[in-house]
Amino acid sequence: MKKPLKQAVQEHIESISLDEQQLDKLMQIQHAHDDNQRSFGQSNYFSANKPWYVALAAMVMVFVLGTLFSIGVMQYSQTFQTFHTKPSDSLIREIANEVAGNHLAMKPMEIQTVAINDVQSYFTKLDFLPQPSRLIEGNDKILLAGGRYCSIQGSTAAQLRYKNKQGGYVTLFETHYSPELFTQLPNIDKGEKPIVTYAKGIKVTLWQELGLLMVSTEKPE
Amino acid sequence: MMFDKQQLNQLYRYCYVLTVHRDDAYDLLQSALEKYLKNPPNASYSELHSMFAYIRRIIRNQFIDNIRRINSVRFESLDVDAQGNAQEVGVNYEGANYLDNQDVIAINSSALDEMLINEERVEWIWSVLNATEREIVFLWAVEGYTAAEVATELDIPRGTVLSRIHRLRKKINSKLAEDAASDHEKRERSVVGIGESR
Repeated sequence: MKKPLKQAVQEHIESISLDEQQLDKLMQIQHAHDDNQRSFGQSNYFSANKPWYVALAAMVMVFVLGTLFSIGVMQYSQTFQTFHTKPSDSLIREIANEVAGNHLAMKPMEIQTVAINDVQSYFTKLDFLPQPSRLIEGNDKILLAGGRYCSIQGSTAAQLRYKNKQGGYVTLFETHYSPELFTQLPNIDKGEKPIVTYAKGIKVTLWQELGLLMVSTEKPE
Repeated sequence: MMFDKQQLNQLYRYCYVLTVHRDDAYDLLQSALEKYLKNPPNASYSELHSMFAYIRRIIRNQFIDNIRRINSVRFESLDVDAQGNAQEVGVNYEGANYLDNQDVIAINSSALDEMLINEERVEWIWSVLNATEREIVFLWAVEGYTAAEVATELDIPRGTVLSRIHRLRKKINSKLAEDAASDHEKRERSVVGIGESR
């Protein structure tokens, strides 16, 4: 039976909808973000009383800078260097939240393979070559399952998904390591220990290896 | 502001219109929603209508990015067919030269109102139209936009919208005519077959 195009399109489109699981997940994403915002808002009480605290902060800063100058240029530069080489907590938290969200999303893999060579050949749009990590490959209980493109803090990244024998997933995120962008994260090639943190109920491990920023995510044991 | 389930479904349908694939549509919606939450609209987007326009813009840009990344092709516009291939835009749609004045007078979204189609043919329409055209059909049929409103939403001149409506109408009509001819041929054959058997 023929119908006006408008009516036929409306009926067809309105028959398409998300299933309950998908809807719940999207609602969860919004709630999680809302909670984060709220806790940030509470901890950031000072922002609500800006003018007074901005003036105070400026005075404190002037005082601190004056003191630093009086201590001497050498000591100041050392302090400055230490400040810059320390990994930034807020950045680590941001990366952890971003990758944990990606891990939970479990978006479909763009390539499914158990061979790292296939994964390396697939990621042709990256400015680095994704590498297996010693921290992951050393574990014979997990196997590569595939990968997809993603991003970390706006940098194009590779997402390698591994499957463990219990059916759970470990996601390894890799991107070109830039100390300016990612601060000084521990380098396991130099025997340093990776940073372990938790975000959104997910265990997040961050380190640099082979000149790459690597972040793995998995369900805590 | 959060989107409720009904609004999420509305956005999902828009994603589906662009991708013509349910999983890809969900994937697209999720990415866009995360971007939206990270960069919420400013005060000028406070009205619900504007917020929808804002997130639809995020969805559209994300869709173009995804296609670019997959195909590594240069895009002038959202002219992507149902298979995700870029179509060559050989005509200057932005200019008035594309249509002569008479056409411009004759074309408006009511040109689509007059079209009749078999219910089961709707799915098929999506495979015939490219993403730009599907988006226009969606905004017109589902959101109830006029050509001028579509132009505002897509941030393109109204003339461009009209020319696209003209093109998509021609495309649908020619496919329907092809189909009708082939049905007619089939019927003729079956009639001849029946005649011969007698």
